[in-house]
Amino acid sequence: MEEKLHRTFVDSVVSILKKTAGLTVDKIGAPKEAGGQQTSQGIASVVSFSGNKIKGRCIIDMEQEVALDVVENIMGTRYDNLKELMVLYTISELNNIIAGDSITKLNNEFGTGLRLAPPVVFTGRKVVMYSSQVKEATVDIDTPKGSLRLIIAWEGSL
Amino acid sequence: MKKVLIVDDSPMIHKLLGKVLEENGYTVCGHAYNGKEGVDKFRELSPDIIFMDITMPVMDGLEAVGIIKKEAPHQNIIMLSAMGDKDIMDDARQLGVDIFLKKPFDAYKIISAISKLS
Repeated sequence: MEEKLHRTFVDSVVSILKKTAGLTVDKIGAPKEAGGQQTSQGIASVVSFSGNKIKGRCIIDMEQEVALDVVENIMGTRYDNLKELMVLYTISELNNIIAGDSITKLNNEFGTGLRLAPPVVFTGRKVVMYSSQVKEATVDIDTPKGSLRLIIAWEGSL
Repeated sequence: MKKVLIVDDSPMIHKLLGKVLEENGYTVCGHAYNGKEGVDKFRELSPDIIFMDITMPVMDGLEAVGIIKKEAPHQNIIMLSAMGDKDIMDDARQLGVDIFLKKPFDAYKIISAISKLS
């Protein structure tokens, strides 16, 4: 069941990146536990979800070049800085769409009644992220533009 | 020209959706970034069509639709959301949402949906 949870999010990342930004995936790593503490690669967006069986967070953490390429492909404008507002807005909404796609599938299959909270985004290399005392799965995803990381942290079960 | 109000907390959606609408002959008459602002702009602008997100701060899109439909039962509303499970779609239909679209969207999806409205 835990595998089903993070597999659903991985599938949504791959599918939504392709649909929205035309970005393909070269390699998907095996899910691993990072022990709660991780360091951001450049820009990270967090979406919380909660329902009647499970609650948690979906974090998407991207290297600068991946994020800027994704934003350029979606918005049709090249930005050079992760701190540009439209970059922050786009990465934030992208995570919202990815999480929404996953939550929709989980709700339809497991009746989890999950709902999303509005996303949060932050930028800066070496920002430390920490999730205390919850289960988590971290999946590294390689693209032709660089790497991104999906972190699912949750309490409860499907 | 039909007037469209966009209600979504993401400025990215306002920019992309506004571009699609204006390129296809619609006028974006207003922008709102949460459900409460959406209700206020609906009262102020009397749009022909409202695009409404669900997950937003202050007031979500379903609550806003409930208020708007109570005041104007024939108001055209297209729900445009990242969420699209059966329960949430049923809730939207019961509130009187005309069309439910799941993000992401493209120009074809948006214009096809609008063309179905009377």
